[in-house]
Amino acid sequence: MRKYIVKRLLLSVVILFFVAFIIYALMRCLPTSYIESMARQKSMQPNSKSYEEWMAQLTAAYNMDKGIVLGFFGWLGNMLQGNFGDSWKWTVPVIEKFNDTVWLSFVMGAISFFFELIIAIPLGIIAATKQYRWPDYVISVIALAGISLPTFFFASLLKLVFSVKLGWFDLYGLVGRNYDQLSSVGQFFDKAHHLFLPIVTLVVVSMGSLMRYTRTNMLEVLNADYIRTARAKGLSERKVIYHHAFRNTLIPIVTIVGGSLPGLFAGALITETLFSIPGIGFTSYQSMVSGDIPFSMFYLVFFAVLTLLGNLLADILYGVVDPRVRVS
Amino acid sequence: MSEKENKTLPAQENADRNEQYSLNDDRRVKVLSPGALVAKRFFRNRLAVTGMIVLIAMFVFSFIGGLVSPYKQDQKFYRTEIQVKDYAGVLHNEEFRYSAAESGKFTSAVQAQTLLAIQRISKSFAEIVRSDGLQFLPAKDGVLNADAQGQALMSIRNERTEFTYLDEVLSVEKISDRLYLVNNDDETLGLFAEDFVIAASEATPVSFEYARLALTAKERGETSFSIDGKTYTIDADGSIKDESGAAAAAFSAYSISAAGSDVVLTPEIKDRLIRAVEANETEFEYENANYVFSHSASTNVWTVARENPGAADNFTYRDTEYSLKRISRDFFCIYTDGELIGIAGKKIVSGSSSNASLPFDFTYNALMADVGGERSFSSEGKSYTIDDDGVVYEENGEEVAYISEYIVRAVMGDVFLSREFKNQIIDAVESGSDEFVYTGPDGVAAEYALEYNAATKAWDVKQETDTTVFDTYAEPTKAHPLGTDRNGMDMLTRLMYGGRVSLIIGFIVVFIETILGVIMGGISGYFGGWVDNLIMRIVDILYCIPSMPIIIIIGAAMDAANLDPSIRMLYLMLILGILGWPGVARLVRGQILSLREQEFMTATEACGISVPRRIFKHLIPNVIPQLIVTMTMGLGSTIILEATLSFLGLGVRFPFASWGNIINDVNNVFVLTHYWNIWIPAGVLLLLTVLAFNIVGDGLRDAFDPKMKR
Repeated sequence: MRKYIVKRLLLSVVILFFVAFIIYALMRCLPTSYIESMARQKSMQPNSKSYEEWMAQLTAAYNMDKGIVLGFFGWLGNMLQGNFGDSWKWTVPVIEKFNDTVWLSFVMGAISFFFELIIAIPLGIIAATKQYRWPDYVISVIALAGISLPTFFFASLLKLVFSVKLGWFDLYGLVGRNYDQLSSVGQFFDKAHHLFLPIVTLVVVSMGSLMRYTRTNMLEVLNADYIRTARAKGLSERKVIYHHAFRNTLIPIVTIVGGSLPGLFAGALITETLFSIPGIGFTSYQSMVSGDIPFSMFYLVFFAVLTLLGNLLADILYGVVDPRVRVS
Repeated sequence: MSEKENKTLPAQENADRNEQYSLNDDRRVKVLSPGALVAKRFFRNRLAVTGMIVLIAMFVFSFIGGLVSPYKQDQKFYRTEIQVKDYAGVLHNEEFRYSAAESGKFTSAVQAQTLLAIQRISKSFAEIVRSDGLQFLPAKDGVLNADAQGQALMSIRNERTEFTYLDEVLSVEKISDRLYLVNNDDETLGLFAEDFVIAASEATPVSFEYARLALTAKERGETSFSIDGKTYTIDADGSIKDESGAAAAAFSAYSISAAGSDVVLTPEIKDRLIRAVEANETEFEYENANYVFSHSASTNVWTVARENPGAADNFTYRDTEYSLKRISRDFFCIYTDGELIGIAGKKIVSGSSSNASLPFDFTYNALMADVGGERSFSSEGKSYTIDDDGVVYEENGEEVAYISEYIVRAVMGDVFLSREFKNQIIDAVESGSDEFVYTGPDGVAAEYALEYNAATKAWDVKQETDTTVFDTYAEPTKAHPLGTDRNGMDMLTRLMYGGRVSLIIGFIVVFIETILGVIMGGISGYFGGWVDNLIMRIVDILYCIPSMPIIIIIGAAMDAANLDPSIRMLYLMLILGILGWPGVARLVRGQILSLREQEFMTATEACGISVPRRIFKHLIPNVIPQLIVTMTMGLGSTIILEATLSFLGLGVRFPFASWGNIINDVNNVFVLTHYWNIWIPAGVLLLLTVLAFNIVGDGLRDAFDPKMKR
């Protein structure tokens, strides 16, 4: 097991290296960069140097005067020393901005993940036990609708109904207008109030796939021989399903849940952008659109690390939860 | 075919036996081909069939609908609108304007000194407004500009309780016909009242809150109100008394404001001024000074000037003595050593043709004649006549100049305002009417509206014209069942073409994904070894690249590069396809790994079939069921991805429509709240299509793999 993990980790490092390089090359190849627009802006000012001079100075100042390969190794070297550079758009160290925003996204992600679990798993199990009867059809259609629902459309509908027509929530933002005048408890509830719609969006849009996953796995387990044996023994249907079948269904579910834990830190790019929630997703969206290389690089590599970590975690958990699976 | 028959008919036995071995159609066990079996299972699933019908409907809607629709995808519609355009501005000149004689001694420094001297003699003192209707009282200085006040008045007139100004919703609260409050969410911004509240003495200035409470109490018929812990009573004659019975303030139909910060208005002088206005006096004397009234009918404002006859009419500047000669209140001549060096007056003499500059002597004589009420004057040996409108004619009847206290200018530089038009405007201004019709030289009559702008003290002349504009955000009608969008294009047609783009993009992307995935996955799975290792590592890397952020970055880059929308669409499809193939490759490889160990593969090897043929003829067909399911589901998710990108403005661009960029309009909050017909249909179509693809994919999976059915 240890050998397997070490091997996977080493492989991950190699993959990560190439991913980082591809992302870096892509970001450097962008036709218009932050530096260019800044140089243009600066050269517009009265009595300023020419655009070319500013361009040269700024490229040197931002360490962009080297080629892509050299530049990448420079970035890699800095990163390995724990130096992630300063964000261009936010004008603070990348780590600082990251730290400011990631926890909000994590809280949002964790809450919605929790709701996703407690809604999707029971519904998935009900659907499987009542296969080809109306609860199954209803739940299947709900799950498929959740998968098929474009986030932005659902968010707009929520906004129309709850923000515009009913006026219960603000359209945008994390805090209300009078946030500064509130007590600390009031501030907490103000934030919670503003996070309500984004979390509902996240839960509805993402619970469908987990629901279907649970249903499929439960169906597979219900077809297994040991379930027939359990029924043949004369156990009650309740005991068969919740004792024998459910526990076995948990194996793939725990795996996939464990695998998606690192993803909670990645933020919800679309949802955060739609609701202007200043989490890591919205922040990185703004950085990417404005061509802020240090922050985007950091975020994308971080994202890649989370993906690799998730896959690794899922594989390890699979071995841990299911003793039949032993990795050679 | 019983045994008994066989025995009784031995001759037939042989034939019967033959028949037993031959398979006649009626004996054959009905066996369906695998494809037909799958189709049968699929069509038994009602949900899947519904999805299929929805999909067919979508295809018909998008591909045939576009052909049937009477409109083109980028056909714009127009409507005519009566637009009120700023046409001209009229300013009543209230400042002294100077003309200098040719001697050049009337320098601007001297002009400034002259103004001071004039002010010693005569100075504007106060402005009195008689309320003839609702007057505005702001809560704070600068809150609610003239525009917002106009809107508030409109709402009051139309008995609406709300209006929107600069995205803020303000409410109009009606207390009575004579008092309205203008509120925002938190506070009262101002009020419209017919009465003013005037402080009885300077020691007790009237705050806005005080005025509001006093007016509210009065309008509600109450006789007392309290503010800051003090209670005030209201008399029947409209004066407000405090607890001790002393007068604190009074309601009045007049509001008096000082003309400058150095003017002190005592309650006594205010009293005297109001009496003078009510008695229609034009002049009175008070404490060694003359107060002269002038009334403007159009604005209903009296301006009071304070004249000091005893003041010195000469002044010294830089050792030169200048003397001022008062011809009238608004006209002064300046002399030094008996020589006329310039004049200062409020009336303006302007040449009739724009390039004629008038000599000083002409100006002087014209104004002198005008002030003296004479109809003719002579200058430089020529004689001129002045008519009622202040137009100056030469002897031969040709118009040379005109005298007026109004400045009329066109808003747009290319508009020439004729003399008659200007006269008509000034007539309208002087008579206080707020609209007039002018028939131009070409015989076309146009309506003009006059609006007094208190902030600039000028009248705006607005012309009402018919203008053709894009028919944006039209309500649904018979011609446009879903209305029109922000560019004035038919929404239903846009939806049809949008569906076409969304579906085509989905298909092409999935096609690219599948081709790449099958080739790479097939090679990888069949050969194994280092080829497999290499391809799988590439797959790992691509899998690990965060696709959404990467697409956003590339989209932003394409924005910056200003690509042609159709080329951009092509790139978008390529990128989505390239980022999507690793999933397919993994699936194909996994299937092939298990398939290639099976006997039929050994058989192909034994038959000596070539490797490409073995992969693509014998292995891949066995993967096709899974591929079809994945492709169907992939179509749905690709369409969502494309729509999301277009929604963020990074995908398909105008003039092409896609369901995503149609919904993009929601980013405008006004569309979100008011024009549901723009974005909800697109969203519903998108949802239905993706849902249908997923349901059909699900149904296909069940049909291909009946094991899952209990």
